Amino acid sequence: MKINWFHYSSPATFYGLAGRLIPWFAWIALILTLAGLYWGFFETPDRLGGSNPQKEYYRIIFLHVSTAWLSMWLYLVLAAWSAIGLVFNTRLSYMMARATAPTGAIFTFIALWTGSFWGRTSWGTWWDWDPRLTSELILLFLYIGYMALHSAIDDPRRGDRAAALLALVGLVTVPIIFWSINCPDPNQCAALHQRSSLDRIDPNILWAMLTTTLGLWSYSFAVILARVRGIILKREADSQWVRDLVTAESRA
Amino acid sequence: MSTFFSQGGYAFFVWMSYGAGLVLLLAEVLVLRRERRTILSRLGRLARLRNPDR
Repeated sequence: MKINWFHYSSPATFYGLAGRLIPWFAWIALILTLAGLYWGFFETPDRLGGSNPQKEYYRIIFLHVSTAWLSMWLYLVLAAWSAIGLVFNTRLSYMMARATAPTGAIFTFIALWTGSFWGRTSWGTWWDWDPRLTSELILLFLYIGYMALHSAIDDPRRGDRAAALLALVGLVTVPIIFWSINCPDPNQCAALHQRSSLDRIDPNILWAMLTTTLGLWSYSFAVILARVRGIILKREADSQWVRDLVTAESRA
Repeated sequence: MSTFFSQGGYAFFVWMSYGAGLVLLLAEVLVLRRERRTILSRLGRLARLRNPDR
């Protein structure tokens, strides 16, 4: 079967498609997130030994790691839509980029917030200018900067392009966050944040974490599609299909 | 059940984390829902201004 992708790059077509997809993503999100958290809270040990002993507070991991992963992933998505918009000059790509930013910012904030509560219990401090924490904070500022720049420019098409450029420049932060825990020499760069240890983790914790991540990923699809539908309606308000849609809705 | 809620004495840290996450995600959904209603009612008003007879 051959799918004509450009067919769906028309906001009018995509509006309907997104509306049909949202309930599916919402239900998958609810089921996977609850299942992942149930698994994480009830099928895992209360305390962890090893070189980095942890008590019950390590259960923050299920929200912390999944939102942190998604905060970086959604920035890649934001940058990808921005790049597609700049290359093909497709309106819908810019709208998708615009719709991705607030959810990315919320996930970044949750990752920082939960990390702070975990840090207080595990390291004895709410905050430290550790490379991982600092670069994740910069990611939050980039999301906010993207949204602020976009809304500061009155002409939406110009705002699209300017904000897309900022998103691409900001892309440099993502590899910095990703590799910020691999401090080669602890004397030169003090890293509090522990390294990734996915290969040594208890499989129950790992799978609960991955399930929660998939659930929240699905959540991000649902809210981003809902947000882009609003953006489409606002931007296409003068087009005939939106007028017809509004007349149909007001009759219903 | 109470052992679940106390989380070995770390209830404050665990539930502040999950509570904030829940509040923010719910707020996002509610804001989106309200925004959709606002947009549709505004577009509806514009449509009635354009065609008062309909």
